[in-house]
Amino acid sequence: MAYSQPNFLTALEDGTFTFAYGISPWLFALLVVLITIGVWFSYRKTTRQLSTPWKAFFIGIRSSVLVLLLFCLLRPVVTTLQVSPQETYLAVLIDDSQSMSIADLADGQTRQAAVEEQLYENGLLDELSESFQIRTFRFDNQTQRIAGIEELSEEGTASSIDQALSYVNDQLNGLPLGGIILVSDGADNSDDDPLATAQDLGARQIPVFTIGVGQEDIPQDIGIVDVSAAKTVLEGSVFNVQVAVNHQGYEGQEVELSIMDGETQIVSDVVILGAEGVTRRFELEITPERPDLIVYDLNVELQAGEIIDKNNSYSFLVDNTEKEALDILYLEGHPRNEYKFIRRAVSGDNSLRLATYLQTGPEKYYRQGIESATELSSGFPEDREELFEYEAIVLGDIEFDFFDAEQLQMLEDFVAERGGGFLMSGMVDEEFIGSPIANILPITLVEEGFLPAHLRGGIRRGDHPTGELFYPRLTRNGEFSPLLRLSADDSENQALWRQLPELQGTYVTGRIKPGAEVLIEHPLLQYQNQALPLLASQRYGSGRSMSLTTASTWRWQMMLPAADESHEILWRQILRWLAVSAPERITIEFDREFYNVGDEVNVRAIVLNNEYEADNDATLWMQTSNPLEEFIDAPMEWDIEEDGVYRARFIAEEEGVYSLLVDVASAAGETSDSSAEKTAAFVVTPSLREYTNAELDSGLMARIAEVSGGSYFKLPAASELANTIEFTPNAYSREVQIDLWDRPWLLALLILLLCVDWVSRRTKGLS
Amino acid sequence: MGIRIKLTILKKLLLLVPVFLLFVSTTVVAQVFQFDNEGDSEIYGNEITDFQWIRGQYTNHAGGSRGFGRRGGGWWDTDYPDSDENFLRGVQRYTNIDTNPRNHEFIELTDPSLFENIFLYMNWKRVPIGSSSSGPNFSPAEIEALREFMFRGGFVMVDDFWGQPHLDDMFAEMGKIFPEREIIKLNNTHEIFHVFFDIDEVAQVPGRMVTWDFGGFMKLDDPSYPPEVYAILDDDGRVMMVANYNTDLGDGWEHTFYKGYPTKATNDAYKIGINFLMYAFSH
Repeated sequence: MAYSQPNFLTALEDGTFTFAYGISPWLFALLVVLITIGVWFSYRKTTRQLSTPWKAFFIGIRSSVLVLLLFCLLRPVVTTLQVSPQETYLAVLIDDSQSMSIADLADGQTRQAAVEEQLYENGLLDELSESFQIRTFRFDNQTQRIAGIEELSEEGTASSIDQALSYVNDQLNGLPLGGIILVSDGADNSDDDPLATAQDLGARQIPVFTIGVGQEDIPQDIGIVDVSAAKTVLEGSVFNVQVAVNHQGYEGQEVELSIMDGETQIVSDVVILGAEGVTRRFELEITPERPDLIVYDLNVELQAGEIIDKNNSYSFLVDNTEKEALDILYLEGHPRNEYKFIRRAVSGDNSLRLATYLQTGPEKYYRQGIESATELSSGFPEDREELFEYEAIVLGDIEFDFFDAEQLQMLEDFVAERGGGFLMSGMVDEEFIGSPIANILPITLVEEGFLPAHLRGGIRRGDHPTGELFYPRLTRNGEFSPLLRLSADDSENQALWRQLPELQGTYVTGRIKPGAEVLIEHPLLQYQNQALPLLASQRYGSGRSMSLTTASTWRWQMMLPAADESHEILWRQILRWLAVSAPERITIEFDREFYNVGDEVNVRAIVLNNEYEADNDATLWMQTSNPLEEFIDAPMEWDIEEDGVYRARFIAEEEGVYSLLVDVASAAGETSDSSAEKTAAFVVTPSLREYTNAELDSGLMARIAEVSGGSYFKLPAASELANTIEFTPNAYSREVQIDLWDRPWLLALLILLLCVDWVSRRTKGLS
Repeated sequence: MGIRIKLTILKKLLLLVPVFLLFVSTTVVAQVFQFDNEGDSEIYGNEITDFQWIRGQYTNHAGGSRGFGRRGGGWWDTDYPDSDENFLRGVQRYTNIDTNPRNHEFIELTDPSLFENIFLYMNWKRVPIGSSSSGPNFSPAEIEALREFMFRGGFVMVDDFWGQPHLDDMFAEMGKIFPEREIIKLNNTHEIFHVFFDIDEVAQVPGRMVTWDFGGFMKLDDPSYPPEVYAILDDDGRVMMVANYNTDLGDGWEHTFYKGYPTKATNDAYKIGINFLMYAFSH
């Protein structure tokens, strides 16, 4: 239906024309015929002889005058719906998000400035206010009522049209809301669907009139779409920062990407942009240099002619604070090179702590890497609680008799229930066959007596095949496993592996277990048609296990130049992999990776008790330190729906780094000091959302109007809006009958006809 | 003029006396305490083991490379092989290190197989004492091999120095390998003296010729010849090289089965040696 001020013709067309005195149009038509017949009858004889055309002319003129008078006497009216002046309300929603500051209009005008011009300077709102009570609101991802244009700031970091429509609906609920004007670029970046709300409004006869602002295509811009980096890095390690860049109009252009730590440039690289409209990822490598929470700025060099400059920079947080090391228990059966070099590989890595218990002689043990005088002082941890404090366990060439049955069971529980990592390194005592250790391992154990002759002889050096030197072979899984990476680049990684010196000696095991994965295998020796696995892993219960069936990885250290780090890298990666998936006593999670000012931060803490089972009986306090270094203490509440989960939420009000300290007091009172608290951090940054896909989405705007019964206008055509709104039916429109009899054109027509009749009669000499 | 010539010849002869005595002593001991290889194998085994004892064979000064029919010349093989075999026997008996008395070898420092090992023993004896006409005279390649061996994680033990002139020699030789590193004296609280045995005092292990039954120039426990252990550390503070001063572990091991040699001295030699070895295996 077209909306405009009604007139006679449109009323006829729409069927809204009637006579106020109830005469049906058919009766009126009959009277017209009768009048015409009556006039014809009176013109049968005239004082002067008239030709037939003249007679017909006079009959026509006189009939018309009489019909016109009859028409007016019968009081013709047009029935229409119209708002009652000042009785209904009109909500005006103005997008106040950052995307409205984009200057993509003629003469570099910003979207917001154009809105100001059209709505305020050109008097659209004034015009509307003659018929409506106007209520004006600004919105981004929240909505507030405003008194005037001066309250617009263009600082909103997100847009939610749905939220704005719902807010207005709620706020003006109870008032006669005749419609909503939505002024926006339609660049909605919320997860909510505004169409559903618009449809709902339409069903309640509250039409939404949408005014689209901005260009549907931004011709020249380079924008960062996303940056991903390890949120937490291990001290001193190099890590990659991936930046996704999109652009329009700069194909083939060289641009500089750089990462800044405050005023200091950390790294930069010149890249060539690809096809426009296609998001492309680039990588930069950085090493955090200070043990701190570091907010880096990634910048894309601003190019001439770019319409949006704010999406050329992106801030991200890297937590390089000193972490509590992952604790690994290493039980070693005898002094051997492997032990020495595993210890040395880890010694420079603060993210790992290797507590070792080395059997140096009969009944003699040597502890290294211990944190207290009592740690391992009585040998194997005495109970589950003590054992479960470690994240991973390594057994190196240790005899079955070292353990009692209870300890073996604890080891299995450590992996299956606590979720720890387990590595068996070197030879395996045959006595372990049938024990819980055999269950954990990713390979099956076989007594040497059952092996074919050529696979006997053990792991020691010698002429027997299992004692010889060999070049280990990476399986397909091993080649791409992060555990065994010496370089991020595939071909370089392969080349580095080829340069590793030979290993010596293989402990022969049976087939790998179903679900296990072989990462390294023997290049020549096979058992049961399967290459002998050298490094294999599998999931076991909640944890993971691994077997390394050679004792010669130390050769990667002694047979390569001292400066080579391959041995250290591989062992650190392996041990970290073993330990890192073991759950911590307290885990803190946020619902988002980063926040913008005003966002709600949802914090989730998962608490486990001493046995690493969900603890629903703890008391948690969260201390929040905001960027202004103000401290706020608040309790975290247990989520009755989830075991061991506690929640808190607050609004991030400042830009910068927020630090959290969660303190846990267990009801059992047994929580050790080291695990009673946990820190975490997040950053509140300027958002890029408003500059990504920030073109005018006229499709969405038109659809909102359509489903709600309103109309869509582009901003320059918004002046037509006032008339359209007035005659668009809404819940508070009332039916009005507009009289047509007093229309000036009717009187003019009547006078004209009478004049013509009179002059013609005089001309023809009629009386 | 004639008298001067005679005196010079006499001095040279006098200097040769202790050299001669040492030669005789070594030969006699070697004859008396040679082990029965077959019996040994039965008791201790003769498999190739995880650990192999390596003695370093190095370039000597010219004076040490002539005249005594030693392997390749020089004094690098002092006490060999009895000290090495006896020590391994002790290691096998007292520790969990996988070895037996047959697993010993001497190799040139420039032999690439050096890097297949983690522990290197060297005897740096100089004869006559205080002379640079014998003892190590490392080639650049040997110095580089030693440095690289230690930087990769290998451990070097040198032994058998007596008196200030020898100490000066030792410092000079160590300085050639690591000119940029300090040589420190280890005190008894250092981890190396407690890693296996608790050694609260570094005992003097007598060298037969120097201190004991050949009437050497000093007596056992002479306060002017205190036994000391010097070391060079790596960048992480780990000991990578030790040198025993005024003590001779090699003799202590060598004379294990010689009834006339003090058992306590032998025991002390084993304790210190095993601790060094255990430290090398754990650091």
